[in-house]
Amino acid sequence: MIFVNERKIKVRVNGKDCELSVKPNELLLNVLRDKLGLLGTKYGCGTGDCGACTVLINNEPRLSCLTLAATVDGAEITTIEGMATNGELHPIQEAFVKHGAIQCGFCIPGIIMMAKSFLDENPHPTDEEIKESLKGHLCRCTGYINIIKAIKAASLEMAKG
Amino acid sequence: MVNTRILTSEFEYFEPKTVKEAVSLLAKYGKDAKVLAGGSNLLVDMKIGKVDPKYIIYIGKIPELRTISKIGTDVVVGANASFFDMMRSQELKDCSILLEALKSIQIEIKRMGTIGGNICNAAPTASAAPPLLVLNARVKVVSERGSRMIPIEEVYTGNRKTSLAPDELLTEVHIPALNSGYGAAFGEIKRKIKFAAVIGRQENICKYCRISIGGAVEKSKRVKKAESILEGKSFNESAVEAACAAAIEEIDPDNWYVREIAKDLFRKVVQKAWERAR
Repeated sequence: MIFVNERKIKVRVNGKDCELSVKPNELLLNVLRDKLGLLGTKYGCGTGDCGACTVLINNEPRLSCLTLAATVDGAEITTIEGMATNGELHPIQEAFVKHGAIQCGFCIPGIIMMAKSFLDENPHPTDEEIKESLKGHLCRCTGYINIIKAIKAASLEMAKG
Repeated sequence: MVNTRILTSEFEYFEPKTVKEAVSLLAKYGKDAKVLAGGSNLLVDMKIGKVDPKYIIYIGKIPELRTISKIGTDVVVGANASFFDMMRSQELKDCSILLEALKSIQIEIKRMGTIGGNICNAAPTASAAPPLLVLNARVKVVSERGSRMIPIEEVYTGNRKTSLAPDELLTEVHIPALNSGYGAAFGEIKRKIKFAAVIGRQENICKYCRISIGGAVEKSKRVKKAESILEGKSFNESAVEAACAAAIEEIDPDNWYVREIAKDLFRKVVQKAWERAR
């Protein structure tokens, strides 16, 4: 029950089981990037304002820069690298490419992970709801219009099945 | 400059599986320990050096703290229930002003933030505070010395300060059902100013009144002066204006902008609660 030093955790990241040794003060973001080499997830502000580090933990969108790695023992984690299947982009990724929603791209992995969970919860969102969903995500290229369009298009595409 | 990419502080990490275990850890380490729930406040505070606990007690692995149930007419929300859990729960369906107050939180924080964390962090801008104050919520805190129930208004003692002792763990929030016929309303303008109100009416008389304020104030609190101006008297425009003036007094005079926008918000919230009361 006491973990003074490193402790072992087991996680399933993008469908692969991993056993890792983490320090109590290690953040999930840094474990993903530095230990697992998954550089898709970004460090933006580190204080919960920008959403760039969003990943899915047990299918819930959470900020990996404000999550201790030790707390995710036993969890299933999905990052942007886990969105495509067999080399085929996820419909949300497809829509982002098609609608020019990606400019510098730094905020996009976080936004796509949020959008995945958002559309799972609410498959037919209104434009207002999409705008609302983006409130925790900052895009410094200010490309919000195309991001909103892309999420809308993805929702329509995914509804087709 | 602070590097928010990493957590520089070092601490011992505990993962209790029961409330009893958590409480015994708090009894041992209380003053040097911090309880970790969702992390969206605590880890920021640790990164910027505001707090530097030697022990972290993570309560996310205690299943009993995440339940939402009904005991009599009270809804009992476990301290570790997330905002998302609350918005989904059948038990809280009738607690509309609380759900309304949680609506504006960003998606990720809805999943990470917990009711217990929101209360114990005691930020003046805390989303859940104004509704809990007007609904007369109580919290259960447990320590090795026993357990006690505290009315929510006695929990908030200042900006980021609560009346909980270092060895106490907040385990439950009890939210009483609204009296039938009472009307409730909540309103906010960004995180600048929030009001919640519960009103009971008889014909044209306001027979019961609870009003709370949050945002640009030192702490979330009831505005008792405004309540007493309205309670027991006939409800009309001049009474609302007098109550509004009393409520605005809570905001720093230098914060003239928030004072201005708060006036309009106050009128709307009180009016809405009145109209919803039958």
